[in-house]
Amino acid sequence: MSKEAFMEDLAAILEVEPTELHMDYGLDRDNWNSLTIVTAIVLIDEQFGINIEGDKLRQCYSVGGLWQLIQNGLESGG
Amino acid sequence: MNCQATIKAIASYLPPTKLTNEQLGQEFPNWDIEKTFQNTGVAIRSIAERNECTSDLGVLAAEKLFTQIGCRPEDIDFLLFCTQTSDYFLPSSACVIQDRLGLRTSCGAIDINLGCSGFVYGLSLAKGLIETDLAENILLIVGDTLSKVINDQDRSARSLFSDGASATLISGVEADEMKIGPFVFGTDGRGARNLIIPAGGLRIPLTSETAIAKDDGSGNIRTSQNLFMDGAEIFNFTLRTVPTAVRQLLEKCRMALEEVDFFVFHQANKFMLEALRRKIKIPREKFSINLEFYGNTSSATIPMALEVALSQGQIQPGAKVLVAGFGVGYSWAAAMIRID
Repeated sequence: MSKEAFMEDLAAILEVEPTELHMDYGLDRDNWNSLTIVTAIVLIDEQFGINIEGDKLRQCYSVGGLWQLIQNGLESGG
Repeated sequence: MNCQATIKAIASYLPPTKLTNEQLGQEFPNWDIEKTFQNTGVAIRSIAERNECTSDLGVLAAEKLFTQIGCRPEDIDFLLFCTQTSDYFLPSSACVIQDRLGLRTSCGAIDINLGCSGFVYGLSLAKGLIETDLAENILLIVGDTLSKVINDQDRSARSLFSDGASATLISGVEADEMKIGPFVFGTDGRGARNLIIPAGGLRIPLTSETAIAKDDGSGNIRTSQNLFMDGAEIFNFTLRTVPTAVRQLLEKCRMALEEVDFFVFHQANKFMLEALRRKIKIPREKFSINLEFYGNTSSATIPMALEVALSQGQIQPGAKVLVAGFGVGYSWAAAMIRID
């Protein structure tokens, strides 16, 4: 699954335009809450077939950090 | 012909006091209740009265069942009561219910301490008792009153959970074909801390400290005497476990997914159910979503959804129905059933 497709779906979860989303885009208590995190869990499962621990997701502070977690998950086989 | 355990009837009881999305919206004005509804699928929850326990709801469900099918209390020779919100540490609520319902004193009665997977485990125990000739008519009552253990300021949990109980009569019939089963079971206690009421048992007794309310960082407030759920980890567990359990069950049944007539999963929340449905590739029309007027009633969601699907004709007599319960423990179980 491409990074572009993921970013597009993540933008929908965060309710921003895909063009607004970049690697430094901040994740905070307002946009990165229990609801958006579980939605992201499903998205990551559907697009990449991996599960990332809830604690790691909660401690993610930028889109770039989230993307790195996915890469780490893919490298370790999910 | 062999003696096969089969589901004879199901009846449920929801307490009349309701908690609507509008009421929750008034209590939490900064909360997007419409978006929450889209995700949970819950519009109305039922709330037990202050002095009303799960056993009371269970008794009402069982009395409804008896009236519905003309069964008499003395016909029951085994009672299985599944709850995680018991009346007492001891005795078992099943013993209290035996007396309340007027079941005979030669009736066996035990509690099963499970949540979302409890109904499927209850079916497996009932099948075992009947098909080994230990009992003839089993009353399986499942339910919870989680509203009593959820903090008033925990909006996430309050938006999901509902109180209720369901009663199922399981009896033996002479038949060639298996009516309940095969089963697959699963347990992973590493997930115990992710859905828990930490204090109030003997491990962490109630103290003034366990009564201190704390914000969990996402605006939900609770004490360690309240229900805690790590939603993210529960999602991970479910996405990892349920599709595998369904695949294992189909292999055991030597059936293809397409041969199953209807699927009733534990009604956790709509978003999770839709994610599972897509992942397992179940057609929408074969998949129960029964949350709007029921909420998540823990172990009672599957029989309640079965009852609704039967009454609405989504399940036709003799249909092959795959039921799957999963959650607190972690504990899960799936089974193939036929309801004639």
